[in-house]
Amino acid sequence: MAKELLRMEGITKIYPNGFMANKNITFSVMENEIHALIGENGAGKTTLMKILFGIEECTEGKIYINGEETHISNPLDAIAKGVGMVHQHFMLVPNLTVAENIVLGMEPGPGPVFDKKKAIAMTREVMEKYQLEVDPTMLVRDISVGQKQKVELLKALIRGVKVLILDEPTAVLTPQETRELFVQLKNLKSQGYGIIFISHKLNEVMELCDRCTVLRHGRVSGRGNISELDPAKLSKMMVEREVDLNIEKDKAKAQDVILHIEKINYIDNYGKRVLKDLTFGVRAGEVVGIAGVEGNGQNEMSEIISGILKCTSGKIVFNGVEIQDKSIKEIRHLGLSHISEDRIKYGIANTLSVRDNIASIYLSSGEFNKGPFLNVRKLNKFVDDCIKEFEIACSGGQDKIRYLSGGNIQKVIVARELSGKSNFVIANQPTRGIDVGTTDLIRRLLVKTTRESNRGVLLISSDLTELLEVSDRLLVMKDGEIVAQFTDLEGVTEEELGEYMLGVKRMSQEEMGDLF
Amino acid sequence: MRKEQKVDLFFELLRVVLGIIIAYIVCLVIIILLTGTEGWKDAVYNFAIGPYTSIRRFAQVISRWAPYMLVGCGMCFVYASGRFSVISEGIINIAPIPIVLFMFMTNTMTGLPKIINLVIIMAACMLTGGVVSMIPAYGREKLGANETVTSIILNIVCAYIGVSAIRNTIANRALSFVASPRYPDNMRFARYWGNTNAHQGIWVAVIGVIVACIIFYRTKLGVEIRIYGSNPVFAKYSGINVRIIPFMGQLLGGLFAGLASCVEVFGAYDQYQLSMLTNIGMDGLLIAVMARKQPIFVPLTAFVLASIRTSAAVLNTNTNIPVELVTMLQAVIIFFVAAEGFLGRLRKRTIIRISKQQQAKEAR
Amino acid sequence: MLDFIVDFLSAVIRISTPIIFVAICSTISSQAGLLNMAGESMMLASSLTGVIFSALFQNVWLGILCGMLMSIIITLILCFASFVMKVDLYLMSISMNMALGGGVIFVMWVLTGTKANTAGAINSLALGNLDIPIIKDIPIIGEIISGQNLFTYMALIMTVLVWFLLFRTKLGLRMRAVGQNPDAAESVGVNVKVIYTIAFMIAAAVGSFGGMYLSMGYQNFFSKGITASRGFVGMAAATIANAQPIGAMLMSFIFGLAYSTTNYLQIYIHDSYLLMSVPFVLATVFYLIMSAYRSRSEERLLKRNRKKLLELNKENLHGQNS
Repeated sequence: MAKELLRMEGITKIYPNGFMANKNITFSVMENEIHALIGENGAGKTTLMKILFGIEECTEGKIYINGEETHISNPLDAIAKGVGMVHQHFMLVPNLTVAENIVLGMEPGPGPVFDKKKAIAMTREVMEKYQLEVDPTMLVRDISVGQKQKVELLKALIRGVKVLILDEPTAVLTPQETRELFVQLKNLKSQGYGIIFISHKLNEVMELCDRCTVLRHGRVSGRGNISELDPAKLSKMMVEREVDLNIEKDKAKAQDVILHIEKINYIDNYGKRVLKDLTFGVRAGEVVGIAGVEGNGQNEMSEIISGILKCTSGKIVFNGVEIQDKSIKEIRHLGLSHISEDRIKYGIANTLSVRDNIASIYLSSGEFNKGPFLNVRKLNKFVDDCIKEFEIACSGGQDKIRYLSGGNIQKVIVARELSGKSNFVIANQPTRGIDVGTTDLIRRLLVKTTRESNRGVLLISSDLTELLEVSDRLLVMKDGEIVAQFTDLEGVTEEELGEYMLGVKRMSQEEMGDLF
Repeated sequence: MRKEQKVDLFFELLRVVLGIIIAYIVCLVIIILLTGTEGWKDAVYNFAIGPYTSIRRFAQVISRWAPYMLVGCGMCFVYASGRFSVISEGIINIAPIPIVLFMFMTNTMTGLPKIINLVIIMAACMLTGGVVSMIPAYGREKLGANETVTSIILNIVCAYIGVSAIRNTIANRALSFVASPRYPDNMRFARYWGNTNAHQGIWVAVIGVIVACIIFYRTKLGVEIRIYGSNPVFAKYSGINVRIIPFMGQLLGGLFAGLASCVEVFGAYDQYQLSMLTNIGMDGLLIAVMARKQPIFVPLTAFVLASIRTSAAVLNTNTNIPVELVTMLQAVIIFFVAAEGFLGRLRKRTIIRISKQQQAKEAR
Repeated sequence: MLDFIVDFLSAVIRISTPIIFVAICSTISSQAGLLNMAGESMMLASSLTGVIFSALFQNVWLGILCGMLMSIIITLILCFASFVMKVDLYLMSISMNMALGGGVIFVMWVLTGTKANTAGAINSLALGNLDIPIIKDIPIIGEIISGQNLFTYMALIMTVLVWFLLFRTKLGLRMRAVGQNPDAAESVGVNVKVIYTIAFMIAAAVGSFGGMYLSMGYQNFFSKGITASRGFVGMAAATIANAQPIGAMLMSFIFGLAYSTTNYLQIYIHDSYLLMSVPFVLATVFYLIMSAYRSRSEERLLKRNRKKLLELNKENLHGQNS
């Protein structure tokens, strides 16, 4: 009878601003098991793991370790109780050696002195035990990504944890390194460990894991033994339909091609080929939706188009001009607007007023300039119009933006990007984390701008309802390529979309048709 | 939420006022302790009201106020672009050097009308200030060198170069300290009210502050600098030229510091004399911090500091207590003004209470 | 000629001593991730305090102890303001420097009635020199090395101790971890703010000796401007040497060399002021050069990696297509 190492029961987490991240989640991990935790960004798995690892406190619920109820107050406590985390963004010190990184916080040695030799010996011992080999004398900054991950694993193992949480471990690994990792994880499993494997990648989950739990909108939407599931069932659990928000829209009258992407390749700093000969186009007057599990190249694509990143090879023609080497400013002047995916990091200047935030992209366009001076009256009127038209809840342009709610901040961004003279908008996760009312408004605005202002819109979203409601044409992206296109969205189901998104099915070139 | 914004503003203002008051009280306590049972009443009187007891003393406040306003505005620009360069201190010393040398080594300016001379002098000082400010800026933007480190060390270099330049060329050998010859009347800001310290430079300062405010709030450059300082990535994403903006912020800081130097050197003094620790640059830092880095508040905070410094000078004249008393307490002021953590818990609780009220209101 | 060289090199060692102390102390805080802008404060506080208390107790070692404690107290206030009250560290450091700059003069005036120096009024003690028994008899080298002030030998010993602290103790390992990746340190239970504070306190203790050397080493009084911004030269030395104690010590000697040279040259060159700026000009130039070199080498590394990866991928691409 397999022992239950960990059990989280009835976990609910409500943040001070009212957002419910976890609702009544029950989740357990057994000995000798690799348990997959699946769900989209925002589904609640990060929060759940933060609670388990002691970084957050749950509002309600209980945690049992080895059958005993416990309370985990901080990461150190979690480790002491046998739960270790391998973070997605490595927590390593670059100019220290592998051994030093591993023993940090529990350094061997008499009194205050640090015994380097003993540290190396301890490290070698652990490495042998778990067959995770890295040279302990090398500096962390000189080792490969796969090796860094081994170091992270060893950090947890050397502290005697029994449950390992791995957060998107294969996101930065090459296929070869992923193979190696799986071998190591299976080895650990056979030694009695319980492993929580957080991932988006369905094929990996199917290959590696024993059980899985699927989260959606903070709730458990399904669970089961992998042996009893198939990709179709899994995708059904992952992509459930939400509330229907019916947006009435006329059929799109798509016209000239505004954006033409041809064979874009992008290799990131880790050597991963994120975009593979990506080719498609967007026309004026239509909304093209990009469906796909996050991490399949959508963000890189949107940053390459807007000029933030440079592609490794390929051509982008925008409004008749080749833009792959142009600056962000030039591309904006050619008619591009961009609603970026992380609004706090990239979308606003947190300490400034609403007015300054709206004005930011118009400063060099000449519309509001009188020589070096700003035409303040014209600008203020523009800002007031934006506030009225987009229903931004503030008392005027001089309000500091950081006091607005998340939804209103997003409205400021949308107002800014949609009110200018651009003829093309990239909207990357425009309604993530936003209240229902604002979400509805933004979706209607995106449709409206194509019908009334003849813009082209590229909508990247992890919300399938949104994609199905708003898009005129829907492309599915997986591993940096287009794997499906739907030109008639009537009758397309989430399950079908899910299968393409998760790599279960793939359209041929003929089925997809012309991607422009 | 406007209410939360008001709460934050209230606490910020509270910290500034509290800082000044507490520093003032500590000052008074020290004064009382030092002057003993007899002299303390006079001493406190001199410190508190001193600057306003005579035209001469008030003129000193005005005289200090002028360069303070300018250098404070300059620091606002430096801060706004997200950099912490304190090169204004060195600029105060070195900016007048080229023009002083030019004045006394050539005769070009002797025959010119005063207004032209003044324009030339101001332009030269500003230009020098701008050029010098670019050294730490270049170090930071192109070479990755911390601008605070380079600016602090360069300040010392500027002081030495300043003295050296005067000493070897035009110094008035009759004096025991290093100084240039007296300025001719058509090459300086005239004094007011007889031979007090207040001078025409005050108008330059006032105009300077107005210009600073216009640039800061109402030009494309000002908005770009502020956006960059707030979130450089956002600035880049918005198409702002992020290569040039940090330079511009520090350049403006240098220009204003140069002008501050000009106003001080050619107004409050009869000849250029170097005092290695003018402190005006560092005071500019305090003024900008007190003004919450907004030029619109600089005239006020500059006046407060000018008043405090004059108080110290008056006190010194009457009781011999050194002016360093005030220097010490400037740190107290900065501490309170800049301490976001001060009263932090009270502020948080107030904001939570208010947002609960707001939510309740909206639910109805 | 030989005499001249001996005198000169002795002078270099003498002049480098205070800089070494501040440079070493700055390496500690730099390794923990924070620049030490408060070197002047650490020196000024201990310099005057040491004089006062050595006079009070008529015991030079007690004076040194008090000076060190005062430096630590000042630094604790700095830490409190920055880490608890969230004032920007560099702003508070600079304000502290200003405050102490004025403060020491004020205190001196209160105690002695003058703003110039304490020579007349306070009967403080000095540490004096040390003749090392066997070494002093070695020709030339012995004359340079032996007979230096006790503080100088302490500086050299402290360099080694600090090196040991940083690279051979657990605390040093944690400091370096915090300096490079505070999140990584937190994730294994190291309290970052506590480490910052400890680093600064140790730095204050070391740096305080720099100030005390000036007022209690060769001479036995404190005077206005006694530190002459050496706090910053020391910090620059540490930063140029990439926060390595041995390197910082060597860099301090180079600055000492610069100071010495300008002193000697003053006999020949009339313009003493320009000469006095040379050490600072050097500090700036070296600092800029080292920063440029370091940022370029990072860029080069990144470029090289990208090139390698691109070539690898081009092979893969060709492999797939054919």
